[in-house]
Amino acid sequence: MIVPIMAMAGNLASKVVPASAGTFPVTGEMFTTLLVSTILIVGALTFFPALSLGPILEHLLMAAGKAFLRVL
Amino acid sequence: MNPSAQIKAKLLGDRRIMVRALADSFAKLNPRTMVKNPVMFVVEVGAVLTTLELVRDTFDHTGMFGFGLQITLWLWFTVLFANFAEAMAEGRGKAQADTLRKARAETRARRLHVDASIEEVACSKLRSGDVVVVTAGEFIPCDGEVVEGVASVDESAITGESAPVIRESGGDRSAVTGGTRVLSDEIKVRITSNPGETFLDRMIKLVEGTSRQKTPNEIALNVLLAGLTIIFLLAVLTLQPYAIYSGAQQSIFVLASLLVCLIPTTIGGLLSAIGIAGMDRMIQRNVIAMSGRAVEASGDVDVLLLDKTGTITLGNRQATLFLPCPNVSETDLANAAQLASLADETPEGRSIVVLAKEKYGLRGRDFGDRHPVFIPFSAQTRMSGVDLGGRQIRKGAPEAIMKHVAERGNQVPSETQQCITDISNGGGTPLLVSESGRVLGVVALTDIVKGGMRERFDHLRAMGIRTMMITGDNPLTAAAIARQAGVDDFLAEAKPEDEMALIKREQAKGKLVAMTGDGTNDAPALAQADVGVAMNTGTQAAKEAGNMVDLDSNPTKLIEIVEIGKQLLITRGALTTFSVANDVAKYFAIIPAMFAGAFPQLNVLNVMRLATPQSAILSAVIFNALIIIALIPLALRGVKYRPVGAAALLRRNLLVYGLGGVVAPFIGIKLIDLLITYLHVV
Repeated sequence: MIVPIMAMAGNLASKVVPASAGTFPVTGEMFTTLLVSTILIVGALTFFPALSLGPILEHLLMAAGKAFLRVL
Repeated sequence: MNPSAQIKAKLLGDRRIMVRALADSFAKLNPRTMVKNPVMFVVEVGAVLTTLELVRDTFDHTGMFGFGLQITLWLWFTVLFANFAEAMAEGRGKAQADTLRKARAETRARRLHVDASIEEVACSKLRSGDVVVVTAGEFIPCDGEVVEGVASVDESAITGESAPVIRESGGDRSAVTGGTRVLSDEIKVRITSNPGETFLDRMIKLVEGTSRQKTPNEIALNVLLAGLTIIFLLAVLTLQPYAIYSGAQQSIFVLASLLVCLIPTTIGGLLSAIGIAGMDRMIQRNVIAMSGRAVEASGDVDVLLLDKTGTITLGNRQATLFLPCPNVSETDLANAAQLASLADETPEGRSIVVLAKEKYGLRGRDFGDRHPVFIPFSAQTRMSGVDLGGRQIRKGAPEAIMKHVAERGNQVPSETQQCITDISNGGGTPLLVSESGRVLGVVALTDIVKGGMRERFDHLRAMGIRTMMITGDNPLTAAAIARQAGVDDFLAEAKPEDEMALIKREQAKGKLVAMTGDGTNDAPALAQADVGVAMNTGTQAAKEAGNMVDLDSNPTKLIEIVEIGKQLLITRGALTTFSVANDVAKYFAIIPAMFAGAFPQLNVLNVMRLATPQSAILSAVIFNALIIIALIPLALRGVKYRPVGAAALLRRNLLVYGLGGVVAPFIGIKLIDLLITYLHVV
């Protein structure tokens, strides 16, 4: 999936857009929040189903005293 | 009626559009149509799969039938709702196209041959270059240019404006449109377009959406949405092996529900409706955009080129001040100026009469037996005036009057000369008034800046758009008016080539330029600009060069066009954000429900405390379908637009559609869950 995204980014980077008051601001805390939450949400959305059956479930089971211990 | 009431009337009132849209939403289920929208196509495939599973279930009796049936129905509803949104957006256009088609009704035309003989032919037989004769009461058969005569034409079929307009040969008022009706006189029209390619035909295609192509922005967003869909498809497909390994195998119904809730169906379902509604909003303001691309570009415009006359200032200069010479009273000057202007039918002349009347109460003269002789303006003398009982009153350009008084041995006082210079420097036009060879004073004619322009330019500046005034005036005058109107910059003594060069220079800097024009000499610049709005009263060449036509021919409308374009882009962004943010809540509804049977510990993730696993999944699917319907009005109307900077706008919209998009489904899903538990549907 990274290849088409990189292609899109490359295409966007090659476009010159002069900054004005109407330009999307890419500095400051608002953009940081936006970027970080987008990465987190899209990332979490992708892996949450698998995680919920793996580490999340294991943690919950462990908390309930049912850890998956290899019996020797 | 306020705008929201209008939307309501539009949405609920016009039942014909609704009924047609309902029928259309079923017709759009055709997979060949659906595949153009990858997100909704995946939903349709999911619905087909669950339907097949349902059929299998009726034989196997797995005990999932009731739940499976409801999931299947709601998945089909999701697809239908999205189709309905698109059909509603198209509906208005189709209704409008039907009205326009009536104007195109097959009529007969009288073709004029080179030997001056007239032959009656069907309109469809006319070709570009033919000349036809149209008399009062007849319809103009095809687009063309008046080559002889002058007539008043009823263009209400195209513009909706019932007042007739004058069309005459030569000049910038020669273009006529097929389907309009000549009300008086007779004109000869040279046809400029073949049947099927006329303005009316193009307009029908545009409002109907048959020639609608996806815009670059729309394609990019579609690629992004398709990418997200693929990611979620993989996430759901890989989940089943995990689930099987954990001993919690999932049914097709649950997997299809999860997938449909995750992929961005809200924006996927509303995307084309937003685009069509943008074009439609232009049409409602009587602007015909030749392509969705033009509408979109207007939202990204950086520089607006505005003609001074008619756009920034009122069409004509008006008298604003009487400045008498020393030893002359203002009233005497006003009186003389009014007398000299009584027979002057030009707007400037009339404004002098009006000013004198308003300021000094001078009105209604009875000349009695004094027999006034009015001297009309001539290009040689460059003066006009009146001879009245031995008084020779003249008004005209300073040089002309100076020459006139010098011939009679008089001079213009230095104070008055100073006045003349001041007026010129201030952007006005001075007129000298003399009586019997003696200068009385100066009348200042100034451009009147239209009311509210400064605020509009301030708004535009806040949006990051620079306004430039284009004028044929000298730099001094131009600067004065530019300052008064509050534009950012101006181009003085502009020739069409200068304007063209300016557009190219701005574009080279990566800026998008919008302009309006109506003359043939504007055509190259209109074609070069990213958004070229041609006036409907303008020439055929201008209308063909631009990518929008303003049927009201109001140059100020460019500002509204930019706002509509911006609104379109913002609506699209807001709904995409909303759609993706929605997913968080849906996860918390579906994932615990999927595995709570096998692992009750996962119920801690059920933060909404949804009643049962089945009610949780069904609630999420129902919310997902209903939110499309709920957002149709917003998609059609557009997100409320405020002329503030991008940062402020972004912050607001992120709060409303981003944070709101995270929170709203938690509440919505919980409510639906409460309702379906109460009704015992699962």
